Amino acid sequence: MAFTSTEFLALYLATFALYYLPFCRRFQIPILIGASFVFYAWSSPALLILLISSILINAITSYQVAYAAERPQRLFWAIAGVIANLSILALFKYGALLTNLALTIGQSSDTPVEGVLALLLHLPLPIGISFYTFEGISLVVDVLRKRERGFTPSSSDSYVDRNVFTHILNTSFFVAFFPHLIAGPILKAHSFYPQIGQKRLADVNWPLVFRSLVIGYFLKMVVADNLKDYTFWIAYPYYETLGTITGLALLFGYSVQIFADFAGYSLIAIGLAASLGYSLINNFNFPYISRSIAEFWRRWHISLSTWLREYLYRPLGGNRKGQARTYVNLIIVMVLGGMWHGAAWSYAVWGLYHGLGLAIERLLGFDKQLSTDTAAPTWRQAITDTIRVACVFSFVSIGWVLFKLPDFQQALGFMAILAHGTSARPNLSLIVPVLIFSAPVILYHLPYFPPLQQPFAQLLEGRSLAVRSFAHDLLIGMLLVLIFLNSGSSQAFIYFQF
Amino acid sequence: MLLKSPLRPLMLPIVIALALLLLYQVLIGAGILRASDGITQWENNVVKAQRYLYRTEQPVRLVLIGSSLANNIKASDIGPNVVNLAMSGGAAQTGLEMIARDHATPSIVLVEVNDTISRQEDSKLIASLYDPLLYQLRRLLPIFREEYRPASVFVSRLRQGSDSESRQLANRAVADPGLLDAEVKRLVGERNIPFTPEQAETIRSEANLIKTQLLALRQAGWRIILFDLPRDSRVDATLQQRQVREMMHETFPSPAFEWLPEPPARNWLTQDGLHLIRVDARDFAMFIDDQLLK
Repeated sequence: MAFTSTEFLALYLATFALYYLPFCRRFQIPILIGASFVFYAWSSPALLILLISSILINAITSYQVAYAAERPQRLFWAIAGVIANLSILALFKYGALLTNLALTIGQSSDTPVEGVLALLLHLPLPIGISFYTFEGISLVVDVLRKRERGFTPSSSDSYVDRNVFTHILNTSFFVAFFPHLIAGPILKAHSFYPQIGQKRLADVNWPLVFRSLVIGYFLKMVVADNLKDYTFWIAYPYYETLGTITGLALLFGYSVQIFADFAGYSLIAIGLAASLGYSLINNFNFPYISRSIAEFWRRWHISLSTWLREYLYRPLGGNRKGQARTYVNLIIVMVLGGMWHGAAWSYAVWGLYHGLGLAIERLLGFDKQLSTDTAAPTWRQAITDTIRVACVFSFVSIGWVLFKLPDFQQALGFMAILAHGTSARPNLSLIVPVLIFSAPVILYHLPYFPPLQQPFAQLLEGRSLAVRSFAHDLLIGMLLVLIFLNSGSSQAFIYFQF
Repeated sequence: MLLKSPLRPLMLPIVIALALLLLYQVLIGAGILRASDGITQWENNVVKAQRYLYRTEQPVRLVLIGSSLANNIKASDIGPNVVNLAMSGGAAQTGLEMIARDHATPSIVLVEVNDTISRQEDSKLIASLYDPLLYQLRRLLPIFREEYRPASVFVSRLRQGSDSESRQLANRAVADPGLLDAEVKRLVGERNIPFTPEQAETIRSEANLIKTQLLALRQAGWRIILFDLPRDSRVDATLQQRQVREMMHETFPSPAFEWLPEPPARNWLTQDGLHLIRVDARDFAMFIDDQLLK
């Protein structure tokens, strides 16, 4: 079920009404779990079995980790939990890819396959599996880490309830809570479990809910859904008719689209969760003003990049084991992070591309030369920052080609068009709308663009609170109008496929 | 009570939004902002469909339905009170479904039947057009119609003047020979192999579906005329084109179904082997008009 569908609106309103009824307060968690299961099972009910299995595996293993008396037992259950999660992901997400690889190596890719191999090749990809698997691993690892630090499960800040059924209920809620279930933000047990409890309508932060929902729906429905009607020209064979300038404009549009689509989804998730009394991690922090690739990854899909840092990069040794190991770790993490996005080698190459970018940037020391002083940037600093932002944006945008065109031949074909299509006339009927629909995202980033932070801050400082508040309300009002009048034809969120 | 409500901070943006919507409606009502024909293929289709749904003019004399091939024909070239409901990227089934739901006074419907029918009905478009709430909202408040989307109105305004009809005509009067040859070569290559059994089955089952739709319309009093458009002779001679022609005449045999006579034998010029150039599309429109007058 998509956040932009009328079915979702009906489900959300019904859930919200029931949730805050005074006599239902004791059942708030079961109400949200029920709504989340309906939300998940809407298009393919059979996949709910997998979600429930994943919940049970994580609830039982994390419970065992918390309450096992001996360390070896705890380690056993933790490893079992992580392996079970990774096995589910490997089977459903990478089963077909790995089977194809095995068949190719065995040189039997042309012969028809039957039995288990045929089953592996045609397993459905359960929606949201990459997200809830990572959340399951986070639960098991966080519980283990807490025990390793000497916390007892009975301590007041423990999030594994002594009652196993309560823990299963809480874990069901943690994994399945519908705002984040399908496309994140990826929750971490240590930040979500402490929030679980009874919520009151009076405590809801309505301005945050409203702002998140309006900006989120605007980014998705007005920016991303409209841009997709132009960026489809990047697909094969349409791009063959493009020239360099049109191709670049469309690639720019695709970079904006993928941001608006995913950041929009995350903001909607944050707003919905906040309306039910829960706080989710901010997933995007104006990524396209980044002055280094490392900074980009601190601002883009923050819940994934922090997950990779906490549960993969640091356990691998992070930057504590010398220069060479740091570069290797960076590349491993980024390749695996790339593969997390999809079962295609193009995602691994995309991860490798970013991993190499990060390693080279670190080797050359570019990531350490960022000025954090926004008080009075010099002209030289402003020009340097502008060039850096343009370079990082270009680097990231070229990487998106592999998202749009997972077939290497096609991706190279598109790059060839960009390189050799200089004689073709720019297609203004594509370029102009792309620029129009990209403009809100540019404006969204602009106040945070390092050379402009200071002038914007000064502009706001000179205005009274009433003027600033009215300007904010006017902006939100305009976004609402555009949602009503200029939403594009709806499409599933790009990140649903991951 | 509202002043003390926790929802109070949301009130001003909502009031501003309502005021802006009202202002936009006034600008449209006063004719200051002009409707757009749509700036993408999908939008063109939706605008066309919504204009048909919410039309207020005299009864329609002729409805043309089909794919982008028929979409190339300007309704006004055929004559007054003609509506072209052919959908780019779509097929006749969508237009037929709209006519069936419309319950309008029966007249003539000209149905393009060829391989494009394998694309099936655009159920997403139909669902969006007939959503009970949105249908009424758009009927009462035209600002919610596709033709008044602010970005489209703005882009269409930018295009005005730089893209006049005469210039369009001049631009498209002669097809780009390089593009045409490349496209024709590709099409001939693709279409000179017979349809796979699955493709043939899809076309047959869609043709049968159309047949059911046509018989229902005929019973409601509509005069139905089937037709296909001329293409580049090299594409027209391909195996698949011959196969699909046979299938169509088998499913819709004459005289049980009325067919538009074959257009005059001449070298019909296309932009890409399939879509007639503007001048030839106009000639074909005049041919349709001549046949209907007979």
